Amino acid sequence: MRFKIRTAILLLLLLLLPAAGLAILGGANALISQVLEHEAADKAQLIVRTVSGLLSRQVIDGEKLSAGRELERLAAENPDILYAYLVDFDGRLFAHGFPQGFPRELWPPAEAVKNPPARAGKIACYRLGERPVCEISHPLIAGMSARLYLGFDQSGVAAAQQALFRRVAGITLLILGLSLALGWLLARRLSRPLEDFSRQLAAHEGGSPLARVAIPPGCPAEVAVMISNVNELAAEQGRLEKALRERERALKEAEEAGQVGLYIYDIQADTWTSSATMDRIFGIDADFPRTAAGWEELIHPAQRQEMRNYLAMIIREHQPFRRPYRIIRPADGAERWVLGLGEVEYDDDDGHPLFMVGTIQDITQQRQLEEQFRQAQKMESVGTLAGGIAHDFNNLLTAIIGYGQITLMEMGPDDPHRQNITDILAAANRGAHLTKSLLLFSRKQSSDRRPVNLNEVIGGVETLLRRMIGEDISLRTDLPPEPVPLLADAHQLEQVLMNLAANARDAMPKGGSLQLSVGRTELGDDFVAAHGYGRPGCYALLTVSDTGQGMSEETRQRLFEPFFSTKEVGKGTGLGLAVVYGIIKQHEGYITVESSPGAGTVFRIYLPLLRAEC
Amino acid sequence: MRSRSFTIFFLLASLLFWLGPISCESSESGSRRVNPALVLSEQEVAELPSLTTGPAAFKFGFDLRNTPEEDARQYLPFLRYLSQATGLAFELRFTPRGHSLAEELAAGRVDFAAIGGLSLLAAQRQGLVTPLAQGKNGAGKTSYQAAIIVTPASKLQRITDLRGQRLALGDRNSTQGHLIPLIILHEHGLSLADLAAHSYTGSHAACAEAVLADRADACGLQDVMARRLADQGLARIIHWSKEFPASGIAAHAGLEAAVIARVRQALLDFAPQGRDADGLYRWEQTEMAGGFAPVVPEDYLELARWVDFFGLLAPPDTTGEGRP
Repeated sequence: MRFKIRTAILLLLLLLLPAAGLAILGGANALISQVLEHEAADKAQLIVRTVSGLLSRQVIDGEKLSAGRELERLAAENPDILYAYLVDFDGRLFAHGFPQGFPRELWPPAEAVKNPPARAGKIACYRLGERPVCEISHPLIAGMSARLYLGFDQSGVAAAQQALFRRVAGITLLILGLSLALGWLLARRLSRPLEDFSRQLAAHEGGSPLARVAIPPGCPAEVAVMISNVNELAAEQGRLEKALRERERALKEAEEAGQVGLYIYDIQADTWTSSATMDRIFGIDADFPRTAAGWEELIHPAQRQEMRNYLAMIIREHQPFRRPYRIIRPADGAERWVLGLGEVEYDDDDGHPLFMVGTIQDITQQRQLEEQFRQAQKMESVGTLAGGIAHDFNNLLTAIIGYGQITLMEMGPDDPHRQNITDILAAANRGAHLTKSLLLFSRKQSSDRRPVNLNEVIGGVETLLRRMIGEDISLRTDLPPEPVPLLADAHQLEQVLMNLAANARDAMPKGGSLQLSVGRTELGDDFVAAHGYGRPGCYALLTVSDTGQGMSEETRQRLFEPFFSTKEVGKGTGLGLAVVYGIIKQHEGYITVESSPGAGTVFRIYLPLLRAEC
Repeated sequence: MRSRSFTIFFLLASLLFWLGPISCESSESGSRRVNPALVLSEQEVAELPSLTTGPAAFKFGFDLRNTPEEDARQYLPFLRYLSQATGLAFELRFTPRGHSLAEELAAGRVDFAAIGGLSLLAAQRQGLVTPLAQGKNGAGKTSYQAAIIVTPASKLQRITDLRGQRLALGDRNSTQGHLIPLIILHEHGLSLADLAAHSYTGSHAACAEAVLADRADACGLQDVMARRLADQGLARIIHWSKEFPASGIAAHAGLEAAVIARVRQALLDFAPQGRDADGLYRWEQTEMAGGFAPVVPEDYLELARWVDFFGLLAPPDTTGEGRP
């Protein structure tokens, strides 16, 4: 049970003050009684001294009648003595001064005589009839049994005692009443500032924690100090809360920026909680079942069993969770790569797994970049390899073609071997053409780069392109009115356009649309971040798009590899797009492809502008 | 709400707590009530139980020397010694007026008594009484004297000057206060009949007081008190008697022999000037100031002859014949 300070002080006063009052009254009563008893005892002693000689002699001599008369005289001469009686040396009643006889109830019963109370006092008070009496006994001779008993009338004494007691009680009550009132005022004075303080604190709930509570006027110094301390504490708490909020915000921003979601998995309860970022990464809402089964449902079916086994293993082996895996987001059905990290907490006593705390990071883009980087490295390696081989083959073919031409010139027109040499030269020329393409891909082919206007290059081959793609495919060009100056080998650029057009034509067997557009663009850091390559600057953007059948992701990944072809054997060399790739790279440009099955294909070619004018 | 109810309850409880002692106080003296109309008959008074508790005690009698209070103060420490030394309980018994210690002892109303030679002889002639020990004075002597004192301004110088004068004596049964003064008178050719008056004051102190108060011209009393009065200049000793066997302690012969033996041994072991001095009150003023010595029955033969001569245990012989 909790009490207010005021109530507690009041209760304390009500408990202590009556106890104090009782103690005072009891003490006063005992003191008054003691004083009166002493007074009576002194008087009895004086009387005994006066009469003990005579009475003891009478007891010794057995003069009972004389002693009785003496006792009657004693009572008669002392108005406050109601009676007197004598006990002899054997402890028996010797004489008394009761005219009507000795009261039967005055003499203790035999049982009481045999078993006297442990605290037998010299004074016994009782009522003789209606009169209060205090009986005092005194030995006639010290150390001997003969005693004189005197009954003192206490009527006056009792009245005086009661009057005195009432007076003391009245004063005590008055003092205690005043103490109670003062205590009440004191308690009020102490508790009111505290109550005001509590009210102000309550009023601040939900408000600024830094708001200060006013110190009520007239409150005790200790309370003022306490309020001041609480204000300082509140200010400090406010500062801490602000810092905490800022830290939380920073953490959230970091979480957002890093696409890192947080989770806590209660293994025993089989339930996990997640941050908003994690929900966003997983593409789940508040209703999604946050259980182990729910988590497994998110995982790509191809990895579901593997991840289930992995989770069981790391819990069993007390290992950290660190594994990238694919998910399919319920929100949009998109497949994403995530990196799951986590640490399992175990019960110190029985080793049971309790919690797993960790993060989820969306690494889809990272993986794409890594893949692109890997592809670029592969293309570079393949280019180097192909370039080296092509160069040697080109030298061999040069020798074959040279000697073939000489042999052919020295042969007569009817020479039966002339056709053979002619076939050998034709095959060697095709081989030379291939090696030239390989050299272009591997950028080993020398280029004659001069300032050219991209618009003019496109205009120069437009007719040839139309003828090449056929009538079922429309060609549209979208060229800017101003020139787009490049430092480029015009022939190689024409080769690029021819190859892309051929590729588009093959992708649109039933016809379609091929569009060439030119523009200017500025590549920034975002391009570099998104693709993992590139140098910021002003570029000419040549976009070649078709409405063809498009390609799968797997095809798109290998699109620029030499000799990669989706065409039937003999229908293509698989070097067209590799040549494009090599030429663009040789011109310090970049090429991207965007395609999906049935959605056409868009090639974007970025070539550095001759003048940095975007 | 709950707190307020509790507060009200507490207030009421406190009020009761306050009023309780005040209301109780007024009835404190009335807890026992005695009806004065219900009185005991004489027979019932006689049959009332004794207020004295404790084991039965042997009664020790003595002759009053001073006031009862003074004598009690002197003998009670001695009885405490006897209780401690013997393991027996003792209580002091005054000899009622009209009774003699000899009678009390002979009749067995007291079991032990501090008794002078005259009383001892009287008791032995009345019943079976056994002397246990003889008192030694401060000098270790087992004898004492009596003295005749007068006021310092008195003209009396010798015993013979007592002829026609008033002589105070102590108790009739006192050796020093009666028998020896008679012997002194007789040795100087006087008897009580030669005096103007003689009186028995009942004690040595009363005898001396009679002289000092001029109710008598001379007093025959014990040597110790006479010497003290003389030393204080209150009296002048005009004659010392010869030595007689001192007072001692006697027992009623009907007691168990073992009890008598234990008491006798305790008496002989008593060292009032030594290890047992603490707690004694003016013991040096008694005839046993030096403790006790074994009693020799022959010591009392002369006293017995004088008793017979004066007829103190029989009708007195006033003729002077039969002098020991």
